Amino acid sequence: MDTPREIILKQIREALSDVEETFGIPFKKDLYTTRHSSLLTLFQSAFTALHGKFTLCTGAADLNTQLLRRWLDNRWEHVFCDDPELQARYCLDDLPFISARNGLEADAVITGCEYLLARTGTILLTAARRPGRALSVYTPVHIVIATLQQLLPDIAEGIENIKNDYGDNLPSALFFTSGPSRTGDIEKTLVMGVHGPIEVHLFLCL
Amino acid sequence: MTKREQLFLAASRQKAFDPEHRRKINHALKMSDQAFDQGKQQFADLEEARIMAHAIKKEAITHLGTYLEQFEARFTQNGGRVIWAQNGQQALDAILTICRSKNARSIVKSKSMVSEEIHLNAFLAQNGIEVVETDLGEYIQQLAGEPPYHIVAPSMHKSKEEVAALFHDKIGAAPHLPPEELTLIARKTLRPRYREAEIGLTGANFLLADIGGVAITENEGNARLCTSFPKTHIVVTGIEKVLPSFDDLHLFWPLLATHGSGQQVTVYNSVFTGPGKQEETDGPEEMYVILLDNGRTSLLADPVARESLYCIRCGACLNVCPVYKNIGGHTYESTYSGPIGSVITPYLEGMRHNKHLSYASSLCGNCTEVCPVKINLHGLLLHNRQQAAANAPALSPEGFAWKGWRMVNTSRRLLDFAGGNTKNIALKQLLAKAWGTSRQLPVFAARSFSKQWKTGRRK
Repeated sequence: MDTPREIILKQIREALSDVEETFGIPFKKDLYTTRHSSLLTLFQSAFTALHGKFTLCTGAADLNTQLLRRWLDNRWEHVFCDDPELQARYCLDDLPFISARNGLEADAVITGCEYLLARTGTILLTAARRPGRALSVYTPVHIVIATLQQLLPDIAEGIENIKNDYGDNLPSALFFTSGPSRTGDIEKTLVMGVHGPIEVHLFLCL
Repeated sequence: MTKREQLFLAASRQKAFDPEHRRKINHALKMSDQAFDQGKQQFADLEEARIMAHAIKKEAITHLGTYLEQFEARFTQNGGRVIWAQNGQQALDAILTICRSKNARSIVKSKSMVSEEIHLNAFLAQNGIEVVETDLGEYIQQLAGEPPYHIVAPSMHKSKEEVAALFHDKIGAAPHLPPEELTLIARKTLRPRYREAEIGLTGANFLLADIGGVAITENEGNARLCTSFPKTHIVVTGIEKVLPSFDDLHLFWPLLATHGSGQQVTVYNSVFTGPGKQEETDGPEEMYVILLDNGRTSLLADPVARESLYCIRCGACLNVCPVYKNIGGHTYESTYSGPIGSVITPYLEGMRHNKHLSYASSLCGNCTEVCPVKINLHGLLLHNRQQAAANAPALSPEGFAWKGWRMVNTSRRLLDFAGGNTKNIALKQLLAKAWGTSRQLPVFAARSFSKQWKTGRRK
């Protein structure tokens, strides 16, 4: 007897027996309204409009200072970071409130990212990087550190670059995240921080 | 008239004259309209974007078999498993088998209309497995014991006071809390559930054939949590969700966000290519995709209705439909409501019991005008009416009445045979019920125009 798979595929073939021609897809490059500003300005305005908190840093030392300043404003009890590359490059070990233990108990998590997409203010994360899938969405405050070289114009370039970087071995999960978690499910009232982070901070190093 | 149609008419009448229902829906839909006007500014030329989206979905649907097989091959290579289900029962059985093999006691679920279509929650509850809805709107609906009211905004018909009362009654929240507090309570209540559940279940917004990927769109982060902690991830989705390429999301993500919620893009657009990899820190050990037919191949077999499979479930056609605005989502008594629901439900759940939905339209064309993939929705509603009429028994009372109507109206002699009074009585007998009580039947003159004209000329 035929399996459901064979039956469904057979039904599809029969249903489409009238189709003869193959269709071309019209190609259009400029789908979106263009604004003539730098990628940095575009990203900053889109990300801020999504309630993201944006900080520009001049370099690793400045980032370290800015992080400390942000921590002093918020006094998060437990800031988690388990990305050795970030820890080394930005000397995160010098900041005593950061630790790589008990990620699930953290108030804030520091991660890197793959790319930043300017038009939509999107941060592209993947499961291939630390800390993986859960902590960047489970922790109430998400702090992302990125550099100017990671900035791309739009989703199309994000997809293109990720495919080039990973080839046939894409990460098991890719997250195009745009601002903190939100809902409008109760009378269309906008509330930030439903299940994911309530705040997203981005520190961008020149 | 079928039982379902009678119930539909009764419920429509009640909702249309319920001022409180009207107030809530008008408020919600006005907010949707404003957001949509704002969101669509991102497109250089929205019409071009829609034409392109239509062409891509046409390519996908007219080569559905090829793209599904490509998806299956790639996803399997990535370590996932594909299960094909001809109908709801096969999908339910497959899910139950997985649950049993994992000794699952609870499932965390993110928003999925296909899971509504196959009535998953009730089925698993009967089998002793608890399903927890994690999308806030769906969580509210689950607490209320109601199906979703709208495919994108499930609890759109509830005021904030009603939600506050519900949280107070069902989970012991303090009374009269504002939306911010209620949201926080849902957050706190659901957090431990993600970590306890053995299985995370989601739908899919798009299946990406070229990379074997499942794309999921959301704003809250619940789908990401459902796919992070549980050891098993099950995706249940319709076969029509396939897109040829990962690249197509550059168009479909913004298009879906703008039409669904008026955003540029939603907060979380995730792509899952399989279970967590060895070198990754977390993620499920197993990932299944259940591809459901359940009547979709019968839509595919109708060359006219086929394009309804291009639908990306944005809900925009519901928001602009004058019928939906008046009768609301629950009145349809079908998983998918509004214009798209009226088009596809007869194919998914049977033409005979659902053909009346094709008449739940003023044919104004608002739905067709707004559809991001340019489905000719009001044209398809007419098509369904024609299908239903063609399949109706030859000597139905309605067919008989129209035959008589035609005979009289195409003959001057027969039309003038009766006087005005007789015509008024006949009209009342035939049409008074359909005409309704809210407007007056037109009155025939004592002598027809033709008769008066002839007399006048003779003068």
